[in-house]
Amino acid sequence: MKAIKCENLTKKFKNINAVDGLNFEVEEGELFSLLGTNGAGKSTTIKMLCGLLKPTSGDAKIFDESILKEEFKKFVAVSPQETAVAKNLTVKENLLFMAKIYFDKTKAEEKTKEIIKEFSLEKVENQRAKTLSGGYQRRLSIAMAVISEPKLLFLDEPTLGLDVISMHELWDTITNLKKKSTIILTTHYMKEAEKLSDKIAIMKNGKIIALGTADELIKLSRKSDFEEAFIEISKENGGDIR
Amino acid sequence: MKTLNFANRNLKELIRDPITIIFAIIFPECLLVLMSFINRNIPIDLFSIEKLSPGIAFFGLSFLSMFTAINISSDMETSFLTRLFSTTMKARNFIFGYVLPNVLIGIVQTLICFASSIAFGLKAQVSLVGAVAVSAVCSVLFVSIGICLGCVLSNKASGGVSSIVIQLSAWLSGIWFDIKLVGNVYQKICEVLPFYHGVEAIKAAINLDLSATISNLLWIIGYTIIFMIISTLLFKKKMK
Ligand SMILES: Nc1ncnc2c1ncn2[C@@H]1O[C@H](COP(=O)(O)OP(=O)(O)O)[C@@H](O)[C@H]1O
Ligand SMILES: [Mg+2]
Repeated sequence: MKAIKCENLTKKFKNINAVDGLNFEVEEGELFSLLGTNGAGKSTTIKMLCGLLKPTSGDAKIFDESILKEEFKKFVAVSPQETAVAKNLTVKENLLFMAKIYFDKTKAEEKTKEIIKEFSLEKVENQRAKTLSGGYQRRLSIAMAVISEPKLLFLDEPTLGLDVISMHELWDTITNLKKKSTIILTTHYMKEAEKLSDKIAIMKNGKIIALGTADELIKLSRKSDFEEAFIEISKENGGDIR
Repeated sequence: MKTLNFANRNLKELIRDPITIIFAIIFPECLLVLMSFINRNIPIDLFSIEKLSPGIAFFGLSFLSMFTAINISSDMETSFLTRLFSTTMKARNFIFGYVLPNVLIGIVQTLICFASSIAFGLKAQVSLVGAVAVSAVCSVLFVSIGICLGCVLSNKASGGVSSIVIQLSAWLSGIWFDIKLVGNVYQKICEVLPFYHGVEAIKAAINLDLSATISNLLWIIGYTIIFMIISTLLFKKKMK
């Protein structure tokens, strides 16, 4: 079964085509990246695919359920681009709160323990979220999405604003998550897309201008590495990268 | 279950914020003490403890609209609500999740206000229980106003605008001066808005004046229903 199947997915804001007729598929178990500069339409795509924005036209099927209805929501969880945590709750309380939306008390407490361990949050489990470093906040935010055991996980710019060490730690965490969920990740950071993804879609002005594995994209552009490939592909599709 | 889970989170968020304690408890308490001392030296009927106490109780509740508005708008800003909108939570889980903890705080506020009023000479009587119940209904009104504000305002604006609501509620409720002395038009405005009736309902409940309690309470209930409907519609729109 396909995890995602977009059918001419489109979102217009007044005169901007933020997302312009997307048609792509994601296989179950894949880590699929949307790579593009600021304003390319990555967040808007994700928001539609997790039910936060209604498409202007078109549709997408998530495990065969249309995003225009409600049923698909049980499959998905999202870690938004902003670090969406409850600031005055501790790490543990944040996780338990999310878990209780999906599970009964006993199971929720079990899941919380499990996730704290999986995300190495033991050291800060009783600390209020607002006192955490950027790296820990981001990790908590992702853990809050993962706790519902989603079949499909959306991570919108998961490493935005993190230092190099935190970023590498988070990459390891994401690599581990691949075993359990299909993951859609957005990034404007080429190295991140190259390191983590099974497949990469390069987005620009609301459209996908190239799609494939990192190696395929390098070949396509006839360049020697992925960064140059990204720049070349973006140029071929209309002048400057933005 | 989802409602209680969310209510629990909101209660924690509220009581861990020092602003809540300062505005909900300490500030009204200071006013009560201050006015009672003034009244001891210069007795004015309006500020006798029987009239002052219901007024302060109601004034304290008006801050619930600010807490709710700020809670919602800051959850929007951090995308915490966005995250929750992508879960299976429904609008009613959210709305009642805001109402429950705030009503609880409203009840505690009123209890503290009455307890200290008793120290200043309010008669400790069973009718105070009824007055607390009336306060609880008034709390729901302020929460529903707060939900409306939180849905339409940014995090920066929500604090300021809800403090205007608090001011309005204070001026139009006859706590600080007798509305009959200000003039006809002013009195009419006060009488078609819910705030004056809120204070009167609490007063009447303390005095065991059943018909006045009910007639004033109906105003509050009517406005609460209207604001509940508006806030549900606005919230559902936010969720889209
Ligand atoms: N709510 C909105 N109203 C109007 N325009 C929007 C809105 N959200 C996004 N946009 C516009 O849509 C385009 C794509 O934005 P976005 O999806 O956030 O890009 P990305 O996540 O790739 O940086 C941008 O031009 C942005 O300004
Ligand atoms: Mg974005």
